[in-house]
Amino acid sequence: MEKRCSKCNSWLPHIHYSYIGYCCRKGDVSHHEYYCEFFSELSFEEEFLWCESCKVLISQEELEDHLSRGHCLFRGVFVDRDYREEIYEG
Amino acid sequence: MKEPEYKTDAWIQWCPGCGNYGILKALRDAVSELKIDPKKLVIVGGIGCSSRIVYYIRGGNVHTLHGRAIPVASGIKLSNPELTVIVAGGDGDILGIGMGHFVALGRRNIDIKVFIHDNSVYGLTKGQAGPTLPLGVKLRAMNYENAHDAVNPLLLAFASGYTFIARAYAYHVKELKNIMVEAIRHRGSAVVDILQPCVTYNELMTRDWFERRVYYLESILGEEVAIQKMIERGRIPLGIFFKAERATFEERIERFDVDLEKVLEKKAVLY
Amino acid sequence: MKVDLSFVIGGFQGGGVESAGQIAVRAFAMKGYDVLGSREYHSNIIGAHSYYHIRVGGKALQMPLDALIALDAESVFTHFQNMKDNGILICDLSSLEKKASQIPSMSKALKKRIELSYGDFPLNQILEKLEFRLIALPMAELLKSLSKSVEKPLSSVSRALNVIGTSAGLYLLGVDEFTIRKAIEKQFRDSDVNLRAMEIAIEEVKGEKRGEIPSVEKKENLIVSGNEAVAIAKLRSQIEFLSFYPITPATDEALFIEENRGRVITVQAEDEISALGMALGASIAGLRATVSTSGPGFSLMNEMISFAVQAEIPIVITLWMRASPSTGIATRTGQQDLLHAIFSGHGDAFKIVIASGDHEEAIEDVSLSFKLAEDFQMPVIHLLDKYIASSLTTVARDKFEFSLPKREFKGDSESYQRYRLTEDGVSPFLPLGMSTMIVSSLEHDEYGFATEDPEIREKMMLKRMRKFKKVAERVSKLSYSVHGFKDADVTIVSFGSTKNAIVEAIERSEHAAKFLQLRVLSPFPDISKEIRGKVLCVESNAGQLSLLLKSCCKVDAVARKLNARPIYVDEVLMAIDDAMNGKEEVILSEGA
Repeated sequence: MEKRCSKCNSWLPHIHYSYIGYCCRKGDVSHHEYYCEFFSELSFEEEFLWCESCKVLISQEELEDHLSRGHCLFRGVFVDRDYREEIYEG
Repeated sequence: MKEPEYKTDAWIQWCPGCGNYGILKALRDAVSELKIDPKKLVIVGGIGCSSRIVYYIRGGNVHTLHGRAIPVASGIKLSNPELTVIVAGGDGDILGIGMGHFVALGRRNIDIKVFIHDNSVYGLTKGQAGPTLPLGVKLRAMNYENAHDAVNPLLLAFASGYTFIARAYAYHVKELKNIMVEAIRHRGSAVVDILQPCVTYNELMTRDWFERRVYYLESILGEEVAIQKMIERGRIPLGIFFKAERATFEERIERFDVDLEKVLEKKAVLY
Repeated sequence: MKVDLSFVIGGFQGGGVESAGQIAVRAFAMKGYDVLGSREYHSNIIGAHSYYHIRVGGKALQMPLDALIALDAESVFTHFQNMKDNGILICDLSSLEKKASQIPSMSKALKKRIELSYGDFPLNQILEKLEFRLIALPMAELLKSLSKSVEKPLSSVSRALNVIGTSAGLYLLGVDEFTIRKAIEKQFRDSDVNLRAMEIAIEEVKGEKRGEIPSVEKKENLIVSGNEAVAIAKLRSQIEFLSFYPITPATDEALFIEENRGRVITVQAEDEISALGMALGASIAGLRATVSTSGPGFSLMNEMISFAVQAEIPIVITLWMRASPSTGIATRTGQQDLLHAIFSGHGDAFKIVIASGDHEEAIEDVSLSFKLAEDFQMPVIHLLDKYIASSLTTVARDKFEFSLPKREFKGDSESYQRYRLTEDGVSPFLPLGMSTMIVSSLEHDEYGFATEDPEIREKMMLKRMRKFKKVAERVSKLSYSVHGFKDADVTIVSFGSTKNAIVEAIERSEHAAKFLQLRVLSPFPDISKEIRGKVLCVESNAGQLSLLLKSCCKVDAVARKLNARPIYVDEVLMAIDDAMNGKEEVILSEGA
């Protein structure tokens, strides 16, 4: 199995920039092609998953459909800590 | 009691036998007993027969819009806490169109008194069902049986955060006056649901009908018993159901000194 | 050579465009320039496209763009068609692989338009055929270097990327490194990561050709949004009561006042009806009170406005217009509430409506509104819009150097008549607490008692009409401004935030043009003597001002902006040409 952060169970992609993400184990960001000794294979066990191709949360029922279309799925998504300061009232 | 000080020379337009006469007498007696200066007395009315009371009692009174007495009264009280602010409106005004504001006042606990002139009909517009008319009742001016169930103003007041909740009856003037005095003395938002007959449009809930059902609570109750009494059916308990001491909205807002120059500094272009 | 730049910084909402925009505005302001930063964003919290359109050396937006700092592929797709040849396009290298169809947050309509014009190809294939100075920054690599050179974990990826892109952009436009550094320091509390990001960005583009931004005379300026400018002006005007209900784009004004309120009573109401009701109560009790809202909230306030007219209560309502009707587009601009404001409140509800053309006028009009409201005891609607609310601009500090004296009450409280009949229609005002009185929403006699008597009713109607006539006399000199040529071939009539775009357009137009900017819309001014040549009415709605204008002059052409974006200088120029060529209806469609 190809080892890279984007296939690791501890890694969450950034909500917008697909080449970077957050490693829950190390508490730091990393490039999607990087990997380290704590690599463990990505599993889709959560009730809601993040589809990076559609930029939405999907439920377990929809997982098959998105995978079959070649979308990139993850266990969750990483949002910048300070995004609240960058938004306006809607 | 120095009644003349609170009388005005406006002709009172209510039908003879209207419960509003009892409420007017009780209110004049209450403010007289508390020796409130008419200049500092503010009666705020909505629209309807009952709200006309603003013309019949001497004060700095405001006749506002249907359902909207509570917001105007809130603005007045917050601006000048020395004023005694009383909202007078019918059940249609306060519990129908004005329902949102009624609940909001409870949440704020502003030191305002709400006296609901509750006759279960919209009198001035000729007798439509009011918010407190029970389901299935058909009164003479209505086309069909009432398809709306009645709201319980006391329970609603409790759920909204009112810190003084009472019910009274328009024709027991002395007891009503005493409850009004307690409500005015209370620090926080107070509601008194004053049951009254409408001689013209409510032929079911007459003086007789009320007087056979009402009885007085012995004392102010603890929360759980109060709620049970509020939903009691068959008989109608009167008196003060619930009273609590809680910070008023006025006490919850912090006022402080601010230096506007410092605020401008933060926006300045620094070179 | 005068510096005149127009550029866009685009990115995703929540991703740092706000900080980037502020840094850019501040950097140019620090060089001494007048800057305007218009913010455009979606009605959503995170993820949709947002951008800053910045103008340096002018006060209005214009196309085409000299530069586009596109922090993601969607930004390139959204704005590239507005760029001039040889304009600077800064983007992320990885954006170039993307196709429009691969961007979920982009509107379907925009994807379709791009596909029709360019085909569904990756960005680099589309851009190859165009004449831009493409500077594709290898953001992934630059982030790696940034990560390595700072000691702590990078918790804000988006901000770092924004700072890299914006620093590179500002540097290439010609801003010096020192100024960019100062702008970044002012922006972030904890700026060392971002300063390092700036250094990496500048290192990356060092070899490229740069523009020149010389420093010019430094004035004592502030950078404020319209919301902030009005909030500060209200505090300077010594307001004592503010009630509000959160609604875009008015909320920020109320929150700014609330944050810095001092002794001002601020209340968040349960709805707009209550907000205005409370403010009217405060006003009757003698306080200087105000509310702030937008179109939908103003609809709710209509009944209360009629009350304020009948009961003669002073109140200032700040109406920040947005794209309508109904919920419309909460975060985009428009001028669709003109008639609504003037004719609000059922009945013969006379009120004053003042429309400000820009931030500076907005500041002046705040204190003017309170003066008029209190002198004439009626509602004053201060008309503004989302474009003014959300755009940042440089404003001279001394525009805020004023203070309005507090309300004063003198009078005999014995047998006080709240509605005493007087020659000018204005009755002496005493607040509650100083006298017994009746304030009434019903028709009333001089004491305030409700009456249906035909004679008293007629007298009270005439009283209110008399009062309104006095308003017209009082505001006659300030109800409109004249810009441009005296003897013009075309007279442009407009109101509100179209001002600066039109002022600039008539300077640049080859036609002799004159601009009548209406400032007071109710009472409606008589401008018939000022008309020269053809009349062109410009507005961002379906034709509200033109409807009113037709009652006093012939309207030859109307230019309407309907796409919920602000007005650009170049489209006004085009409208003037069209009007002179006999076209009667022009639709202005610029803006992304």
